[in-house]
Amino acid sequence: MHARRSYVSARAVQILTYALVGFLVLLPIVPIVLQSFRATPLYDPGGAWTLSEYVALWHDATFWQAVRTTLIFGLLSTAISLAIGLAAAILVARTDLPGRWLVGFIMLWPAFVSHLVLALGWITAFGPSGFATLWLKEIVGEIPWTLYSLGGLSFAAGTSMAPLTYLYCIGAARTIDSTLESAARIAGAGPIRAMWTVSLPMLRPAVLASAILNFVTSIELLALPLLLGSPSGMEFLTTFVYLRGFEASTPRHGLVAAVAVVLLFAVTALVLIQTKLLGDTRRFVTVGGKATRPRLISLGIWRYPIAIGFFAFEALFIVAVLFAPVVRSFVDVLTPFVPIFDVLTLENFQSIFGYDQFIRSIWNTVLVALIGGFLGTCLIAAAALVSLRSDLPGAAGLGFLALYPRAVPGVLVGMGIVWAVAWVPGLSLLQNTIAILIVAFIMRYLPIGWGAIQPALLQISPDHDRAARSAGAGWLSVVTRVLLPQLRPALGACFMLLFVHFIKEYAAAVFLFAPGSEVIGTTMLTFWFKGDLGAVAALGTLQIAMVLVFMTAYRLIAGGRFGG
Amino acid sequence: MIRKLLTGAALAFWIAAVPGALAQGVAPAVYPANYSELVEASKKEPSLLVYSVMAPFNWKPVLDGFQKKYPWIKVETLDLAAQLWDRFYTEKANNARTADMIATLGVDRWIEFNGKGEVLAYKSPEDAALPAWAKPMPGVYALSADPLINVWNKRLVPDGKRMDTMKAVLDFALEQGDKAKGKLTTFDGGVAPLFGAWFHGWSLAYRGEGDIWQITGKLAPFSRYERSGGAMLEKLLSGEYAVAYLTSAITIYPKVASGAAKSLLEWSFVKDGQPLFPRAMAVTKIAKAPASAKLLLDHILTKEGQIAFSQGGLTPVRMDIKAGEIPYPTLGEIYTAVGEKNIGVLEFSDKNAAEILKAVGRFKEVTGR
Repeated sequence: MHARRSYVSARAVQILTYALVGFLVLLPIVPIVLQSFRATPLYDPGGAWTLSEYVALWHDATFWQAVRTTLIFGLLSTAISLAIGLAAAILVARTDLPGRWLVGFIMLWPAFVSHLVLALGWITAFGPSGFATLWLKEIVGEIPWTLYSLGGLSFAAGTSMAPLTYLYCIGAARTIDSTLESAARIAGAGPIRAMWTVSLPMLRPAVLASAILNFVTSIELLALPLLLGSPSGMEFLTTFVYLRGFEASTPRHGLVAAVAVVLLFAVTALVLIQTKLLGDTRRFVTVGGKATRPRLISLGIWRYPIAIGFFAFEALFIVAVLFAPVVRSFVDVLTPFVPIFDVLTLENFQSIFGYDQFIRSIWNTVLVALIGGFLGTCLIAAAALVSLRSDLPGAAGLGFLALYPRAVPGVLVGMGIVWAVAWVPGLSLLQNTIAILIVAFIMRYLPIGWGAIQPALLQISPDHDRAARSAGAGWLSVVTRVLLPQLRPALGACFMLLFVHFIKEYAAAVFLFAPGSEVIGTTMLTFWFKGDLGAVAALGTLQIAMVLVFMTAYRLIAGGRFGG
Repeated sequence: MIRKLLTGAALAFWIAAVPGALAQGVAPAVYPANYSELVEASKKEPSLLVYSVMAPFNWKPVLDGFQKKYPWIKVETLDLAAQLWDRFYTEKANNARTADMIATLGVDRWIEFNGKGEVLAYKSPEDAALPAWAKPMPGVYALSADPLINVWNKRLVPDGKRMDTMKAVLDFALEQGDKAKGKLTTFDGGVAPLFGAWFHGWSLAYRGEGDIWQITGKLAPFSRYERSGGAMLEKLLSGEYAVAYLTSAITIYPKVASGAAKSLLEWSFVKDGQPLFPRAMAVTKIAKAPASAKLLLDHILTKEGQIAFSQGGLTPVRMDIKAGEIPYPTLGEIYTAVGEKNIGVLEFSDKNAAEILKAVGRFKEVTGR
């Protein structure tokens, strides 16, 4: 009797989770799919159903040009993000690299600030008149790169996406059973070979998850391509879509929506490929029943050279790039013509703190990031558990559903939700409050959180579930007492990722924010469009400060750590 | 044209000279007798929501003055940029709360908005004080007429050369040759009507040799094209760019007024063709607070309201605002600086909307982008 009741309630929880994720994801996607079959914006009455927007895309030479550029950009930047993130994760988690906690900590920094600010940092440091460019020119003579090229842009985007790869892989790298590596060493493999043939393949779920997400993210990036690519005349999928869709005389929402639908199919294909590449997921189980003391691989004489090399890389491409906007936020102008001490000022911050709306936007952002991060983590964890650890029919479908939001441009998410609010009774209560922003943001970043939890869950042996089951535990007990405690690092990473993304988000807010529910992202757009980049940099500095405060608090209160 | 402006100015001066007109809650003397009905009606209305492309710091001086006149009206503004129209239409279609008043740039979208019957036709008591181009459609009023200007880095443009005409910019580029490659910038006229309008506006004003497309084509090898005035300014200061031609004055004015930027940068109106871009406002037909919105529209058009908006760099449309009354040049000063014949105002007309689209294509053609 008891067992039966717990089965029913477990089933109810599973169905509810599935329904909630489905609702959240479909909420904006349904209006977008409908829009893709209309030539005029949904708000125009009397439009007819048509395939014309798909046909128009097919025949548009600019579109194909943009697709080509975007694919090259996507592949390049994903490869770069993988190389950097993965190297850092393995070095930090598996070796005795000196100062590895610092390597790991700095690795995360690019994730802390908006891409607008990051782009500003790249221009200030590595642009034709950037301080790093000028400095290197003095030492080396010629500068072999141009930032405003496909290569330069891909490198900038790749380092900005490396934190995701690093965060996804570090958890997996930590839990690798070191007896496997020891076995390789005993069989005669050197440390590098042991890493290459044993550690690396074990990371495949995390590597694939981050590669897919970064690839789709790079397709959806706007600020970096716009600022680093457009001045040289490059057109990308997003820049193309925003121009045709929103800034043209006759807005083509259908065209934007059609691109989004095409991307939905692309994401489906990517997830299918991922499933195929992973194959039998039991191969990746590294958290078994028996505990072993993790042993680190010794780098031997390579310890210091590798450490110095990695720190130099981080100093140049992470610290210097972020340092630029932070300095910019404390000066009137940033220029090689005037000594920096002559132009120090707090004005950039004063122009933010002088207005109620802007101060409110900061508090709203804190609330959205904390509440949204918590709710989002709960939902994503539940979804992953249902998808991978329950016998609910069709549970695997959640894996697709959870990744679809990545295919939808942020502005469309906001627009779709305005429509959904009108169609779904009761939702209008949330309108013009930060609650609607939380809904939109969780939807938008579901895939990011999913990627943090899914690989970690794959690593926990189902033997645990079976052991608990045979001891009489129901599904809910298995989940709450056995699996969730072991997932704690992944849950922390998920929360952290949601938190930083919510702090930065603006695209999805453009249609949804109202007087009283402004966020930092919308405030940043205000200053951006008014050309006040000092204030933009100041907001970026505040974003960094918020994340650092949050990480410190998390460490002190929960004893958790991220990467470091 | 100038005579029309001056008649308006004289009239406006007369209005402004009426003493005691702005006591709290009392209709100004020259306003119609039933103006107090409007004031009364506003007391029963919900708060006033404005969608605009102006930031809170642009609105503050305006709303401070408005609040003194009508303390019971709560005004909320949203700064929306490119998605302003789509957001309005989407909300309207869904019966959600939306703007009572709209204030933004863009010839094509304003004509579309008016064509859809979304504008509340309203004649402001300040109407007579405004030039004809500042009241293009019934209920639509220009609140500012913003110039494009040339800005340059003094360290990179030698010996006191002034980039005060487009000819001077071109001469500078040709003289410097390869050294000037990538050192010039302007807005990317090929990406959207917003920037295509820049170039069509310039063609309306240009009186120099050849036409603007020849100049644009000749400047192309030296130019990079930006979509953000702020990015141009940063790169001018860092020395990445030497000259930004035909850039937005609103971005530049407040920045070069003081500090290090003032010592590094110099700017000028464009003497061989000075484009002016009216930015318009209107009360929406579906406004939930129409009386409050009308009061705000009127307030913005008063001399006081115009001066208030000018604090953030907007150029008032009223000619009765004298030099020194606002922190940046008045319309009168621009006319004096470049001469009346060299002024081109991008009016809100069907013809201009069509020409702007052509300009977008033309820009791509001559720059090879």
